[in-house]
Amino acid sequence: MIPRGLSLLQAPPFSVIARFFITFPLFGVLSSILAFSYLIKEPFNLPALVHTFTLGLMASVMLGALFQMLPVVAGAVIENPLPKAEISHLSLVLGTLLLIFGFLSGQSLALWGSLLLLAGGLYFTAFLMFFKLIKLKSYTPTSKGMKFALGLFTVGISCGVLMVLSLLGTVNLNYGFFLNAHISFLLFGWVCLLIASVAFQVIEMFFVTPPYPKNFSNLFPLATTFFVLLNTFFESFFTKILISLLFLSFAVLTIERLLKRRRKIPDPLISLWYLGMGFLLMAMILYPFTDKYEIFLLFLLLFGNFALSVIMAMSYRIIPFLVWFHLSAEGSEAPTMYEIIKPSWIWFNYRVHLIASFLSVISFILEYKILWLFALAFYTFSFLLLFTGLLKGCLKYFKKPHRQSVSLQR
Amino acid sequence: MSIVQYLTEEHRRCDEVYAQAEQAVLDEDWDRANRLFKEFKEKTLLHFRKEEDILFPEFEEKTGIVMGPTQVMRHEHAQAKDLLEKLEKALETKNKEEFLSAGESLMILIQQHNMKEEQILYPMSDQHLSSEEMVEKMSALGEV
Repeated sequence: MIPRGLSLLQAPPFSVIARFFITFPLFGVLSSILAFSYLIKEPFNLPALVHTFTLGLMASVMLGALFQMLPVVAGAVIENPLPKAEISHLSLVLGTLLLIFGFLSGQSLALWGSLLLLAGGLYFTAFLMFFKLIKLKSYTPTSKGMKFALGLFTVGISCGVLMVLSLLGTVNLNYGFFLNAHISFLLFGWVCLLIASVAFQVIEMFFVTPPYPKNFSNLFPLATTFFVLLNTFFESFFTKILISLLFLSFAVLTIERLLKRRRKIPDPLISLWYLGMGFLLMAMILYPFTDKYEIFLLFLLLFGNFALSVIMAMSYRIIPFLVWFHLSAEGSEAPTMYEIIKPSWIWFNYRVHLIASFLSVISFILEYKILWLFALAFYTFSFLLLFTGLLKGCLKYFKKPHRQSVSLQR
Repeated sequence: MSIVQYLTEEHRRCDEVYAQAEQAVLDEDWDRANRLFKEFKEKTLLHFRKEEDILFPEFEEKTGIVMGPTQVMRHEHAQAKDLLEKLEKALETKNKEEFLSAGESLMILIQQHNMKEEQILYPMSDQHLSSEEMVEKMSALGEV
């Protein structure tokens, strides 16, 4: 039987992906502004800050990337993707803004609104993608990993929904248990697993490296799921060690592959991958000790820097390529990737991000308020550079006149 | 040998040679760069020919899908050929920046193209065609 996914003509229009990639850096700016306000005026509202980053930035870019990658990597075509992406993107953006407002103000109406928008939009997108994937045979660890990651994502969201309902006083639950499950499922089962699954494919291909060990990449989705479940139902130092070891191995193997790469061209994206893996190593070393609140906060900071570095690396590759690819497919005069976003811009953004991320860790350890201010200023600048770079890239596509009758959709 | 294995190995061999050519451009060793790029281009075009002349027609005949994935693959081959010409021009004028820029587009185009082939088209071809016979026919055109 020929799967429907084999109809590769149905590459998603560029605007499906562009909308997610243009808005996510703005949530980075918003998270810096929130952190600034906490420095000036207490109290510190961790849920508002964390969800600005995890939903507005991470979930947005990851779902956007999946709209593009599903047909390419797994052969799962989402028919008529434009309105679906609009629903997904709008509900995510508005729902996240309402959730932040709800956390900050404590207004139940805002929380209810965010719950409806986020649960509606995220379940819709996750199920849409999950059921496309589940019908197809997974030929690679990447498509298998995406399947598992989307499954674990829906469980993680459900825990979040239940916790908001508990905050609204409509359900009674063991909040500690659901918080641990929410964190485990989303940080490890969704973010880490999805990044690792994509890395299994792109690290080897983009940088011409040796492949990941087959058994490791094949078993990775299952191992992540098993350890996340174990850590949810039997949370202990031992279960945290298992999760740590799994992702430490991934980080070490990725660094090893990058060191052995055959394309030696200086590339800021490789530096971002190294940086990301460095932060993942540090985060996972700390993870078993996160019972202590300060260590948990430092773990979140390191984990955020890991995810942000990898997301930047992927965004700066995906957008220029798609602009070139779609323009070239339409028969227009297509600029090459370096002309779409200049490597000098990406190098500059990388350096600003590097300073911001290290300053934030040093500020956390030394507890100097003035250092925090500098760190946040650099983060804000870095997010603005990212936003401008990606926007300029996207505009190179949108400003060109487009032919309607082309073989590939826009 | 399966079609997946045979053609995937060809992809990797082309990648290896491209990485060496790119390094030579980076070192501004233009003679070496020209020689390696020529080798890369020949290997890539031979690989395309094996697919376009042998694999795709057989796949289309067996499955009845003519305007589907094979058409997209042909279209991407044409895009890659355009970029190969751009790279060749950059080498002629010894323009490092232009070579690396067009090369980045080519690498990503080829890699995402390879992904689709290795994960969808080749496994399907193995399911529907006689793998050994196909590999034998493609080998007759030469080795990448």
